[in-house]
Amino acid sequence: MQDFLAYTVLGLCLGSVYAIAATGLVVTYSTSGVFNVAHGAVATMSALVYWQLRFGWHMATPIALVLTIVVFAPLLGMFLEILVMRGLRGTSEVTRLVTPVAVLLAINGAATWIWFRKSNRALVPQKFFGERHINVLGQAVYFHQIIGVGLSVLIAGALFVVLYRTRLGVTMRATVDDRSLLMLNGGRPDRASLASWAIGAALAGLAGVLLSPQLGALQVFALTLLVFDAYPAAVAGRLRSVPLTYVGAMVLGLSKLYFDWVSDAGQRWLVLRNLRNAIPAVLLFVALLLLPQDRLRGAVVSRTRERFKVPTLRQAVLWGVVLVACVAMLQSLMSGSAVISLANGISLSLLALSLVLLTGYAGEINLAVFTFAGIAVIAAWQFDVGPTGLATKQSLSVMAILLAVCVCALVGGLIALPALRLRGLYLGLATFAFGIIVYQLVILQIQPLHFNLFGWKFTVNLFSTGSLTVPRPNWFGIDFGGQRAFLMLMTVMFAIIGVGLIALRRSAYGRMIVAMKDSPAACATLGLNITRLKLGVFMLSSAIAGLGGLMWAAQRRTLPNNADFDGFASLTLFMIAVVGGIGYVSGALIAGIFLSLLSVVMPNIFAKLGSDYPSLHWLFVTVLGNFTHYVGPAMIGIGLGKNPSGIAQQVMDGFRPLRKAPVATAAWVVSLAGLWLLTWRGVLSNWNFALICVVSVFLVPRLIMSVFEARFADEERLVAGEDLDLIGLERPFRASDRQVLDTALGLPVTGVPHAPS
Amino acid sequence: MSEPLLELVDVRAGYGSIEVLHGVTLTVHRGEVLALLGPNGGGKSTSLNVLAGLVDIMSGEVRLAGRPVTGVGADKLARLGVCTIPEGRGVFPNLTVRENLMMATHTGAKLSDIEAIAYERFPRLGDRRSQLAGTMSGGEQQMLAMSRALATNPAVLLLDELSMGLAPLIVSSLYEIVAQVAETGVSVLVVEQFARTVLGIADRAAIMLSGRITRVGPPDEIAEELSSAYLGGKGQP
Repeated sequence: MQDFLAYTVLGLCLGSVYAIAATGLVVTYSTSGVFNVAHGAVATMSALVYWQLRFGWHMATPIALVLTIVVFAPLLGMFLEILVMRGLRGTSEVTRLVTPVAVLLAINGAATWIWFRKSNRALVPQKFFGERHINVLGQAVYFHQIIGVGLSVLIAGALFVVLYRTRLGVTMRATVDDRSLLMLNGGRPDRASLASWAIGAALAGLAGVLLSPQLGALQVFALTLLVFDAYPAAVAGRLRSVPLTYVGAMVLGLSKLYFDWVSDAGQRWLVLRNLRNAIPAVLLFVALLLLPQDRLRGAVVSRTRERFKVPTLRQAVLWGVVLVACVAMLQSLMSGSAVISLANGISLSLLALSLVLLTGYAGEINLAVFTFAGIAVIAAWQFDVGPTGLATKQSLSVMAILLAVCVCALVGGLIALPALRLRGLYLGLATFAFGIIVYQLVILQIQPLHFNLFGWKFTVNLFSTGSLTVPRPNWFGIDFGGQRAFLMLMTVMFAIIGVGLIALRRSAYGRMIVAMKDSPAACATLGLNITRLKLGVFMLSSAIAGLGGLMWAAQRRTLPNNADFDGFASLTLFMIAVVGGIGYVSGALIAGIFLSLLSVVMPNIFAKLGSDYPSLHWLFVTVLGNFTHYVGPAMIGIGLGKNPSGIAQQVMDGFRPLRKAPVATAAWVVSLAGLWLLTWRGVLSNWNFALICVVSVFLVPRLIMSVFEARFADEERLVAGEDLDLIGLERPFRASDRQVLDTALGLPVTGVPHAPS
Repeated sequence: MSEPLLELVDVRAGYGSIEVLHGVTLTVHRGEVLALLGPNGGGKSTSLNVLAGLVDIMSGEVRLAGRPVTGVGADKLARLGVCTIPEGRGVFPNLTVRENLMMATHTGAKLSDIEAIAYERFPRLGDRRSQLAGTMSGGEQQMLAMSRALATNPAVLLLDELSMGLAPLIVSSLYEIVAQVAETGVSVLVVEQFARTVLGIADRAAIMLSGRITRVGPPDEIAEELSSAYLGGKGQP
């Protein structure tokens, strides 16, 4: 009994710190409408700044605390609000989820760059008042923990008063309710948002400082995950209620400590060794499923800035063939390492295709794509080369792939079933929690699992050696073990699945999926079975993720169990897919190539330039290389608010003039093909060919636009008899339209009063 | 006629690249009630939102009491005395009645004064001061929105589709209040699709079609032309 009480006290201490972190999330969400996924990153950065001030520069604790919690963290919060979050107005929930993900990755990247780029430095934070403690029921309760409890109670009370009793707090809540209406009342929503982000960031910073001693030595992603642990508490409070959040945090803290108690700190049941780390994710999943969420009840048609056009099937097939031809031509010119980078990119694109269907078409969110990759790898490996006695092959068989795809589809369906009533952010969090649970309990499982099914005893080794070696296919006498052959196989797969997705999007089923995304309520009134639709989309998307994941693993050949399964890689891929254009197959292609380019190719190029020009090493390696590697992918995500439809849409808009000048376009394509031939024959160097291609891609559409501008404008002029109500809607309103309009309305024509748009 | 208080001068405005107003000129004089009428999609609400500072203009000018206020934000215009009740109630659904009234203090009025005026005029709001506005009936919500117009002593009142979704009896009583507000010297611009209701209290009326003002005149003359405007008798090529 004494142990129970002692662990209860410790659990409440831990819960108090979670309460601080979670209430910060609640404040930001309830006053700005943005679920700040970057909350953990702000906490991490603040903990590192505090460490730097207190232990790096030996400032007094109160000064370091004030500078961190009262100055740095609020400024960081306000900086994010001004530079990033304001750009998210009028965007979809997906964009509003992805942008904070980009911020998270950028801040963590910056923190790694600043504090950990040279080596794995051990930054060891200490508790307030060091090891001083009091004994409660035989357990040491440190002063640090007592301070955490006191602060959490104080903060909960203060937040309640601020949010419900002061004009500032009510204004902050009113900002989320109706921003325009607040302005019509004379309120300044921008100031209210600034205040809420400053308060939220300060609470994140405080939680980071209080939690960091738990880690021993500071680690960027570990600390961020530690703050992620507070998410279930915020969800328990339905992201709005401070008291319920507080209760949720206490349940969370107690759950962890009670597990420590019954499992003897994880030593009793080795198979469940990592359950402690998975407890927050389990609670998050349960909280999402059980608690009523007012945001989920009414599904409304919302007007957002995202617009995705659907290509015709003919166009899709044509572009699929063009893609395969282009990759075949390019790989014939590329060096071995460049082919590997391109293949990495295509393998990631295959994974991202699952998101095009699920998020781009159906509007559902999956933040655990790499988890499905992991599941597929385990399934195929067990079948093909695992020590289970089923088979011992040296190549990936078709049967193994089919099995992996089916297992992924089944798991996807099992996840979708309980998550059927969730949408948007809540669904995203549920899938993220699922990813963490699988990572902790399955992928990090190094204990062999023994089963006895009706007398049939068998053992399954998951990642018992810490890694799996995934062979490449050898089908129909064609060995895809070579890098170039495997690249072409993946490219053909991408083209086929891509065309299939577009065919699906254009079908009646595709229209139902998009209708479900726009308004599930309207779909239900039309008699559509939303449950079946959602389940089907989830299963199909999971199957694609499984296939893509298998190819990604085969591309890497050896897959360690800590490779990209901890949730951050899934977040990154999701973010880049949205940036690329989540509603387009080409967006998935752009996402994979970009990720490979920014995380591997560009840093390598800068490293090469740094070694070639030692005097500029600081610029190429220290600044550009590190920037591209650590924060590059995140930075493009941060700019998403400006173009929520993604890069694919921008590219299509940029190349639109080419459609109106087919002869000039054909001449350009033939010229490029001629240049490729010259390069292939060795007349032109690869670098020159690449340079000419890149420059011409940027210049040619603009050149065509400037040459044919007058003709294009003439085509867009108002046609007699055009519907007056559509003037200015389908194309820009022109000065000449005004005359036509005035004549039609019976108004005196006063000439051309304004310049053309 | 009294001096102009709020003016749109050859204003072009819209949303993104879509132009909705194609050179609109409109004047609201001091102390008058101007009804802006026309069928759906004509640009009435956009005109009102431009006057309220919610929609940026592409060209032209917006003037308040003779001073240019083009580009001035809605919050500043509200503090200058432009009170707008937007389409669809104009209340914060997740705030209580009292908290809704608290938001009106941004214009400089005291909460106690606002509450006193609101609860005196609409006693039902006083009974429900701790209730979330979103849980009240449509009529009660519109009362709450109107109480802001009464309590903050505005110079201009902009009303967008006040009657939407309300019973005729409630609409009549609300427009009675609008007429009383106008009698105190407040300029009122009313945007309405259902014209007959508002023409009874208007000093002048304007018809808007396809993003242009096609006619401005006395309410009785406009009433005669309304049906042809709504049915497309005039203005279609």
